[in-house]
Amino acid sequence: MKTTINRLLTTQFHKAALAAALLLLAGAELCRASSNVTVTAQNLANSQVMYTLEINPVASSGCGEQSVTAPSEISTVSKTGVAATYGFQFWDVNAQLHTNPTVKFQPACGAANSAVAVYWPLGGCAGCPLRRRTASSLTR
Amino acid sequence: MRRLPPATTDSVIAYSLNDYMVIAGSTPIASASSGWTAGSTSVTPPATIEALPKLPPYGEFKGWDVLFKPYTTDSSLL
Repeated sequence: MKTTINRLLTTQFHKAALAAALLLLAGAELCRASSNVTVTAQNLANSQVMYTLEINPVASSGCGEQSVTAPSEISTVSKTGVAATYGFQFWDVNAQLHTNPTVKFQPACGAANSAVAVYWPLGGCAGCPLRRRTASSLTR
Repeated sequence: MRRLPPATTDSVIAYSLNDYMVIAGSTPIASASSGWTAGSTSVTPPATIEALPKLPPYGEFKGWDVLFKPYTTDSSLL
């Protein structure tokens, strides 16, 4: 089974720019438990969720393996028309680190699943903590 | 008289995979070869920084991820 985020692709530009991240569902056995996989793009500079890309019921996907792909860069446009860009840094999927933009994972049935694409602001945003580089210590 | 450009600094952040968020108010740096003040999350390069092995109550150091650079589990980062 394959799901794309059609709703996002038909809305405003700044949301469409984020919608390049897709949630692809590979169907398998039916799962009786009901749970969701929430896919979000998060700003590492302030931990704010820039956009919730998808809230997908795991039950409808049969609890099969899922694949998420993050674009290398996304952009947002403020109300004043200023574009801010963000670079992909890593995925945090159910507290597991993934550094590749595309991740396949087995969701936990009957539980909440979280797939967070973490981005760092590259420019354009007011008050961006722009630095030459950003080093993140990842703890779990 | 010629003025030098302002020093460029690096941001160093602690991120909790379990909590899906930046650990605010904490530096993950235990020590640095230069360009760092204890407790700060900014480093003036070039410098080698050493990660804190533990950041209670969030957990243990897992690795460094630098934007557009390969991920490393080495506690030292240049």
